[in-house]
Amino acid sequence: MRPGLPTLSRRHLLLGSAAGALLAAGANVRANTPPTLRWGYLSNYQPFSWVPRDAQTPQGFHVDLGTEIVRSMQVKADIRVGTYAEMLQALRRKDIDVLGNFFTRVPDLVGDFAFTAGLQEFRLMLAQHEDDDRTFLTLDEIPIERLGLMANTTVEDQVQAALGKGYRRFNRIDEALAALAKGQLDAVIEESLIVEYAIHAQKLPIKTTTPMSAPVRLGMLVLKGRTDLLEQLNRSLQSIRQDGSAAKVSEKWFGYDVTQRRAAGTYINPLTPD
Amino acid sequence: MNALLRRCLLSLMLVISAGLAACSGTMIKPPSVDLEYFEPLPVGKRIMDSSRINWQPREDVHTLCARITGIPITPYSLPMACAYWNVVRKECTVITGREYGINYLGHEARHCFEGNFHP
Repeated sequence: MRPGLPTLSRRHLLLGSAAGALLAAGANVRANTPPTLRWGYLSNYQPFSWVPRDAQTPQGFHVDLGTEIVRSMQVKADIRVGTYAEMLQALRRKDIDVLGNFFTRVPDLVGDFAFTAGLQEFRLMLAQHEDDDRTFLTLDEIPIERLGLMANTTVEDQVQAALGKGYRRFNRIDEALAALAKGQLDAVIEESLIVEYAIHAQKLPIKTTTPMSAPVRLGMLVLKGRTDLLEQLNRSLQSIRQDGSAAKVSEKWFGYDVTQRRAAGTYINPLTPD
Repeated sequence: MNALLRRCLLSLMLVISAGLAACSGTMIKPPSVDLEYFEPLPVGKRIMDSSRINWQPREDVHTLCARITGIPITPYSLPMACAYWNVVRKECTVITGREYGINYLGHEARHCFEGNFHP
């Protein structure tokens, strides 16, 4: 079982059909946000939100972003924490107004919830030793016995489907990255921000290299129908992006601004004559 | 410095495109990419002011760049080149096709300094 983000990661990666329609269609609804928003976070989702041992309050990237959003909205936050299932239930029962973690548009969320605009991308990324200059653009370019990944995740399902077995399985991402740092592996495949956080926090001699999945934008959750709240959250997200506070929070946790894209490309329309 | 960078990139693309056409025995119509001058961002506004660029000409450029950028392969869109970067390491990888890849090199190299500058 994967500590930190067991089922969540699996849910994220289910997102092949992620292109959910944006839900809000607010028509001049007068803003009516309560002065105190009940704001939920997952209690065990490091580095995004978690409650450290012997602590009472959550910390993490999403918690700090939430603080900036609340400041921008000029409201107060009443913070709750719980498991993924508990927080979804709390949203449905209107016990909380916002789930302040960022999620992909998986089928079991789009039915009941509306998503805010995104601030960060989600994607799988290769990690290599910082002294390794080789370029691996596809998984089959890596000797399979030198590839490490988290066991019992959708990442493993995908790698196994593509390459078969023979890769190195780890129960904790820290163990996989430690093996990579010692030269026992050529590459580890994992969610980009999980790896970036470990590199930044532990000062590992590791770098992220090739994106191994397309980027997916994430959003916070509110209950469907909270159009006014959704619009205010989106305005605040835009505000903290523009005033630099999202970048500052990002640099604290990852060492650089993860709200900016990391890839770009050029395409043609083959049907259009040159 | 900016003007020099701009001219170097443009010259590189034009010279090599012309060279490709001249060397081939068949008619080549390389795709036109960035044949107009552009104004580079001021240093302070770039994502990286220096970058170690790794150029990868690949046969499978379309599928690789579809995966890396999220631009789908459809009858109406075909990814031709892409770049991805690591601002902490100041490293950038450019992927192009083998054929005509040089046409895209200047454009993608600009991403290595200016990030996602597309509107």
